[in-house]
Parts: sequence; structure tokens; C-alpha cells
Amino acid sequence: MAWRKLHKDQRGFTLIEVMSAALVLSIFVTGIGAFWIASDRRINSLTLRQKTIFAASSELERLTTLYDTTGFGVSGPTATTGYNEVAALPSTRLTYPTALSPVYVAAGQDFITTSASTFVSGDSFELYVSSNLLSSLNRSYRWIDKAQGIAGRVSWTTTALTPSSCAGGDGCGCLDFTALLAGSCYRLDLYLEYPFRMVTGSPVAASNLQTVVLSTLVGRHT
Amino acid sequence: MTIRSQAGFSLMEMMSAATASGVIVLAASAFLIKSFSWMDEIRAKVEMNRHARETYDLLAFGAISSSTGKDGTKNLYGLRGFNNAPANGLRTTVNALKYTSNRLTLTPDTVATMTITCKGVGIPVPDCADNHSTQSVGGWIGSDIKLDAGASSIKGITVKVTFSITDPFEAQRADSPGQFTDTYYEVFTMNRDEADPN
Repeated sequence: MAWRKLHKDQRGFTLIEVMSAALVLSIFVTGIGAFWIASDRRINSLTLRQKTIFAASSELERLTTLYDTTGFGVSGPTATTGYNEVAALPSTRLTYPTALSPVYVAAGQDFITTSASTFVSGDSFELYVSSNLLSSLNRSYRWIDKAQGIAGRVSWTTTALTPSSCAGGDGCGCLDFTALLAGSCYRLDLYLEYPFRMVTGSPVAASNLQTVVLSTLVGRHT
Repeated sequence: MTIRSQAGFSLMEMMSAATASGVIVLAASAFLIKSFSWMDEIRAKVEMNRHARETYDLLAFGAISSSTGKDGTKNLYGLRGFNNAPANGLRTTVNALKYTSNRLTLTPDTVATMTITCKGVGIPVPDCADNHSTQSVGGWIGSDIKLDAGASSIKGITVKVTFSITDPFEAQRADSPGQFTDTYYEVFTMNRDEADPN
């Protein structure tokens, strides 16, 4: 009996057991790999979102300065329609005109191009306005990650605000956008949709279009 | 029964089993090693995100110093608190962020300086111009921070800022170093009416 017990203790694992263990271990390791792949995708997506938020913040800053220090708010933006990708967001929005009029900024300060090739090869801060026969179908784009060819579509809405304390031009700072009379401030909601890629000169939306929305208040200062 | 249980396996059985197990384990270990490089890559990208955010925050909002600046406060003003844009070159000679305002200078985000051998133009770090020279790198700023308050500045008060973040550790050993450099294009409005306390 003692010999049998000793003999049994020395049996170890069978070949099948060892091979099964190796197989299970491999499946486990493959699972870990899948985890890293998923993490990598998620990190890349978050990095792109951070870049988009920075880009949206830049665009909001540029727009705010246009609205606050120039007469752009009067009739500068182009009214556009057909933003139907996300039902919860407005389908009618404003966007940049095909060129910034010298009425608002000096000619050298115009950062808008209607040329796709200038957009691709030029200054990374250029805005590309794809111009259509119907201006309501125009769309504006800016780079989010130029090195990887990722752009975003820029549009915004404005809502007039008329705070009661501003009535009568009591110096609250809300002049109208002609800078002549007491008027109203705007709530400005900026939409930056991404990712878009330039394909043979045209921006093409990815299937998983996402939107960053930033809001601020604008009003003509002086 | 006892004799049979002691018979063991034949050489062919052992060799077949060893080959089969070897293939499985080899594939699994190759995958495991690749997982480590994925882990490094993810860690590098998270780090780069953090440094991009820190650089952006410092450029936009500034910081508070422990000593007093020219205007009697401890403020390092962000670009939004400037009247005139500072010159290019907001980094040290070894690529660490160096921000000066109100005669105060901040140099956060430094690492032990390392020597990187260039492998081509922009490879592995953006400053590389050839395939043999070396770069001393002790920070995260890839290319020199570029400020442009001239062309297309709205009313002369917006400034275009281009900065890039490079992970010098990962870029050196990566097959595609380009993915360890991220470039950001920012526009800031300089809201200060009075002269800067330079």
C-alpha cells in the first residue's frame, strides 16, 4: 500500500494535461493582447478628442474676437442648412463666408481659402470653405491633426440675448454689431464635427462622426 | 497494470507533443512580447496627452511663481494676458518648455538629458536634419514653439501658436517614430490693453 501511494505521488501530469494547460495559457495571453489592442484604440480616440477640443477652443477664440472686435456679427457669417447627421443638434447653422470681407478685417488677415489644395499644402491654420452654387450648402473645415490628415467641420449658431440691464445703453457693453447703438449680446454655440479626411480634394466624413460643442457669450465691445 | 503505467511515451509521441506545445507557446510568447510594446505605446501616448495639456494650460492661462515679477505680482501671464506676443523659442536648448512672462521664467517638464542619434530628417525626433548627427533632449517639446501674431491675426490681437510634443524615450526605439510626435495648432486672443511687464 505504501509502495502504491509513493508510486501514485510520482505520477506528475500527463502529456494531455500539459498540452491542455499550454492551450489555456495561450488563450489567456491572447486575451491580454486583445485588451491592449482595445486600450490602444481607446487611447488614440481620446487623443484625437483632446486635439479636437483644443482645435474647437482655438476656433471659438478666433470667432469670439471676430464678433467682439469687428462688425462680423452683422452679416459676416453664411447661413447654411442640412446638418442632419445628429438629430439632437440644429440642422441650420452659420459658417464662414468664402472670404473675410475687408469691412471686418484687413485683407492680409483673411485666413479663409476656397482651394482644397491650399488647405492641404498651406498654413495649418487656414480654414477651407467648400463653396457651392447654393451658399446654404457651403461647409467650413479646419485641421485637427494635419500630420494624420484629420480635419473637422466648423459651424455655429447664435442666439440673441437682451439682458434687461442693457436696455437704454447703460454701459453694460452690449453694443449691437455695427458698434453704433445699444443692442444685444449673442450666445454662440460652436460645433466641431470630426473626423473628416480629404479624399481627392473633398472632405469625407467618417462613419463614426462625433461632435464637440463649445459655447460662449459674444458682444461688440466698442 | 503496473508495468503498463510505467511504459512512458515513445520518442515519436514526445517529439510530436513537444512540437505542438512549442508552436502554441511560441505564438503565445510572441504575442506576450508584443503586448509589452503595446503597453509602452499606450503609456507614452497617455504621457504625451498629459504634457500637451500642461503646455496648453501654461500658454493659455500662465502660472503663479514663488518670487515677484516686474509688476510686483507673482503672475506669469498666459498668452491671453499678453498685449504683444512673445518671440519664438519658448523652450530650452534641450527641448524643455521654458515660459517667460513678467520677468519670471518657468521651466517645467524636464527629464534627464539624453543623446539621440538622428536617423533621417525628422527621425526619430523633429529636430533631426540628417542621418548621423546627434540631439541632446531633456524635455517634451518636439519642434521650437512657433508664435505668429502677424499673418491673419484678427485686429492684431490673435496669435497663432504651433507646438509639438515628442516622447523622446519611445521615439528612439519605435518602428514609426512619427506616432510619438503630436503637433497642435492653437489660436489665442491677447486681451491685455496696457503694455506687458517685460
